[in-house]
Amino acid sequence: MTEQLFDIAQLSFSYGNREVLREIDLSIGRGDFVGVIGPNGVGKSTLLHLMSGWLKPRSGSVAYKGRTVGEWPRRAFAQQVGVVAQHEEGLFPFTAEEVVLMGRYAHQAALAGFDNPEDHAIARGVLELVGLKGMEKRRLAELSGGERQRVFIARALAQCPEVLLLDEPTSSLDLSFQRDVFRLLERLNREHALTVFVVTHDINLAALFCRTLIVMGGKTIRAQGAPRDLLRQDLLQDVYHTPIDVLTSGDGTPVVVLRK
Amino acid sequence: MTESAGETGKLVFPPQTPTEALAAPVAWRRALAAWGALALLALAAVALSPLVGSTNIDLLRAWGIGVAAGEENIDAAIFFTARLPRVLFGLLAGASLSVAGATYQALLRNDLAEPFTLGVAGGASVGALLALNFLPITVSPLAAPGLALAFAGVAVALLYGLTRLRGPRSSPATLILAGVTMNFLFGAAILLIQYISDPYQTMAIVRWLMGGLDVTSYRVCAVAAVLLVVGGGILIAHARPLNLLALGDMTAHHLGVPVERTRLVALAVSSALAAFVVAFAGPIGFVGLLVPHVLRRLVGADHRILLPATILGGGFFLVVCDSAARVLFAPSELPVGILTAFLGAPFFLWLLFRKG
Repeated sequence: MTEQLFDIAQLSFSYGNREVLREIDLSIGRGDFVGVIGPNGVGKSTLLHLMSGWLKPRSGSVAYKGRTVGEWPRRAFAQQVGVVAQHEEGLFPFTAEEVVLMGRYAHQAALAGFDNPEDHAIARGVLELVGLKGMEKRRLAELSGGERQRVFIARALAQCPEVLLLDEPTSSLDLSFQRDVFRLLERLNREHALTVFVVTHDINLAALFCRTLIVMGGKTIRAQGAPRDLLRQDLLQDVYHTPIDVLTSGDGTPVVVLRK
Repeated sequence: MTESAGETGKLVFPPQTPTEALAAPVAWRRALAAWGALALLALAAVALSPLVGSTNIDLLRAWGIGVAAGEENIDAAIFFTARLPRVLFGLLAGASLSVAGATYQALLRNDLAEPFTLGVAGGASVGALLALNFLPITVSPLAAPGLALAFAGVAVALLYGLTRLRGPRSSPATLILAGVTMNFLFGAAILLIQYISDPYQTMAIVRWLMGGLDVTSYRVCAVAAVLLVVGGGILIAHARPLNLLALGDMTAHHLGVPVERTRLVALAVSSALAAFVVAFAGPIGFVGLLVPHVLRRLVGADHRILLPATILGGGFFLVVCDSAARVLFAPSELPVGILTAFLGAPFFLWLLFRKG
């Protein structure tokens, strides 16, 4: 019996008059590895931001461990839920290490002064995990888009969360780092029961690593299940409004390709 | 990239890298070195600046050494009555404006933001002038900072409301344009006040608007010092949330910062610090822009180090500027606001166009 972490019930959301999500129901249990796919503008990122508490539901509810997300003290929530979002602003000349150390904020005492040796140990460690060893003192502006993205993943890992919510974490990474990021997530999921909820455009990557896929379309969840059962031509063509073929790779994983 | 953890065996998480055990003391050492150096500079400036001015004075005589009993001690009068309070207020004003500027820049993620460019100083000026011109002299010394604070609050609330209206990613230039417009608006209000004032008052207003440290007393210094200790303390206590807010409201939220509350506290405190300075010294521009920028280059962007550094460095900077203003056109004295504007405006333009 797995513990339920997120309980989403009858969740609706609108930006002004534009409705984005309509009456969504969803549960995420501890240890789940969930990928969310679907075309642009169906509310994938919105769903993630309702779970992170950045957006407030128009109606319905999002609860984490039985308590409405908006009612969680920010610090306590951030000790358990890490987020890698799509857009980061960065104006000041912070170094990679400084940015990752900020992930320790929720675990530090209110007037802690400077980061303690444990914070530094964790920051160095997660930077190494995402392949940025030796880049600690680089300023954010001196890093490539992909390296910056990995800094933000490292910062979320530095939160030592139980759940990681990721919004397009691999969009600016090349192939090998896309695989590396997902392999890292998979290991954390398998060996440390890290719950992963990842929004992605890359159906094939999601199919390779996620145990559960959620297909979104038309403001709601169209289907949910294991990649092998879920990635059917009829469903995907319907959701994406595009001619699509579903092939099968050597190990039985479905592969989605565009048709001309 | 997982090679360090090994492909076999369990991944260690959270990672432990004991070799970095020294990192925390290093941060403290770096901070103390920076603060110490700046404190020494500020101290030296305060010690030497009272000697500088249109009249030469003798430090020994000022302290009563070599002055015969009953002899009138002009040196002491100039030193203790005219110059020392001015220097002390310069120190406190520079510190307040700089730490307010650094805070605005982090909160608004805009390195062009400071009390003057945002129109906060303009708002405070209107409030102070209303009190100084239309209230009886018995209440105006108290009412001036109060109304300055109220109008600064109006300016901040307007700016903040406008940026919220535009959404989270309104461009830095938009905010500064709003600040410039705010300055036009408050400028018009000031012109109106001048227009309905008598000629003598108008002259006083014009002089006040140049921004000077000469109208001050030990009592004002004491209040400014208390405000700086309390306000600066609150801001420094928020240094880590400010670091996170500098990365974006959403990021700060995700990392555990109560964004709205933190921003409200920091905006209110920094605006109060700036408004108090304006109420007595008039709008002294660009100090809150120049000082945080230079110091960010020197000590880094971490507000835990930067905010105390801006307090010390800001005080030093304004005292030095005011000393220069006293001697540049000796025997007449230049209001320091004119000097900081001549220094700051080109710097502001450079910042604006560097971005491309």
